[in-house]
Amino acid sequence: MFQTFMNRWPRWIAGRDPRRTAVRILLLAAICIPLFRFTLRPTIIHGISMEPTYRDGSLHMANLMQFRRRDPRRGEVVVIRMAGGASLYLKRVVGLPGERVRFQHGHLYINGAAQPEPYLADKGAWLMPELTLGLDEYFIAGDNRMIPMQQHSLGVVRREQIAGGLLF
Amino acid sequence: MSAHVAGSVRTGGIRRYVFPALAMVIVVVLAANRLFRDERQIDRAFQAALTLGSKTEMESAIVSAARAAELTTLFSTNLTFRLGSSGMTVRNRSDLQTLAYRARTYADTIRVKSLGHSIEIGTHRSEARMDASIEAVVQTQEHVDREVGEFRILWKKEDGTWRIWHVEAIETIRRPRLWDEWAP
Repeated sequence: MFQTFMNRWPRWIAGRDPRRTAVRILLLAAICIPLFRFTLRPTIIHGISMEPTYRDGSLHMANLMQFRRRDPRRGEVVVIRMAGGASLYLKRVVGLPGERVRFQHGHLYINGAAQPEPYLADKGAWLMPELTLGLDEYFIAGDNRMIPMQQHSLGVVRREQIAGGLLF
Repeated sequence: MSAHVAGSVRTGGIRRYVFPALAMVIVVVLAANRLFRDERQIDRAFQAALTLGSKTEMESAIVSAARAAELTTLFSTNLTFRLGSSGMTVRNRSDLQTLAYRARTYADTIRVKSLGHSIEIGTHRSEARMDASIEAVVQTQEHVDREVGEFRILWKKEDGTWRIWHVEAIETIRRPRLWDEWAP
């Protein structure tokens, strides 16, 4: 019955051996669904907050396993789950747990010392009074410092909110 | 030809497995249908709210008022909006209707869509919590504004219908205080 049913499908769909095709489809689904749901997530960038590093509209692959075994380091790009879980923020880690973070005339200061930020095209003129991060908190920001700070999604996230990094 | 013959020979064997498997699939689908009925109802109401909040073409004031009124039917009579720094407060359907009407008459087009939402039904299945990321693109003659907001939306079942009774803005990324906000 299965064979008769499958034989009704055109050969370019069902293949030479419909049963083998069905098994292949199931196998592919069994691999792809967990892979692309829990491990790798194709991601399209919306917005210009990470320019020039990541362009608006470009396609990337988020690696949701990247920080399972270790914590993010300063300068690494991370993805953060937005409310609802389906969309992600893409930001760079600039402050680590317990550190004091400050922006003065576009320069990033960590614990009072200026930090190099080689990934920036322009430092901009951001100003932010010093804040101390909690032991479970990271300070994240985008690379496009030409956007006024008030219009930029930046700030503090908890470790558990960091879902992963970018594979490419 | 030979493949067809081989298939016919095995037909009896397959039938033994196909019918129980099919029955199991039907049972699972029916059970899931019943189990997730509330989620689907909330999802439908949420999509309806997004559709009624959108405006795809120019419309008369009467149509704007009608759509705004229709939108309020998805909300409970006692509702509260807490929308963070915007300071916007909505306490009843009438406030909401006024707000929706003003937005519709101000904008040429409004596109509201969900970027993702999760639903958690309460233990008594009469209340539910939804976390949602919502994108709104508002186009006027002068400019196009795109805003993305994150919200916690609380639902309540009233006479068998899920309605929104509380909306509040939430922040995944906690914004720091900036110098200009710091100044007295």
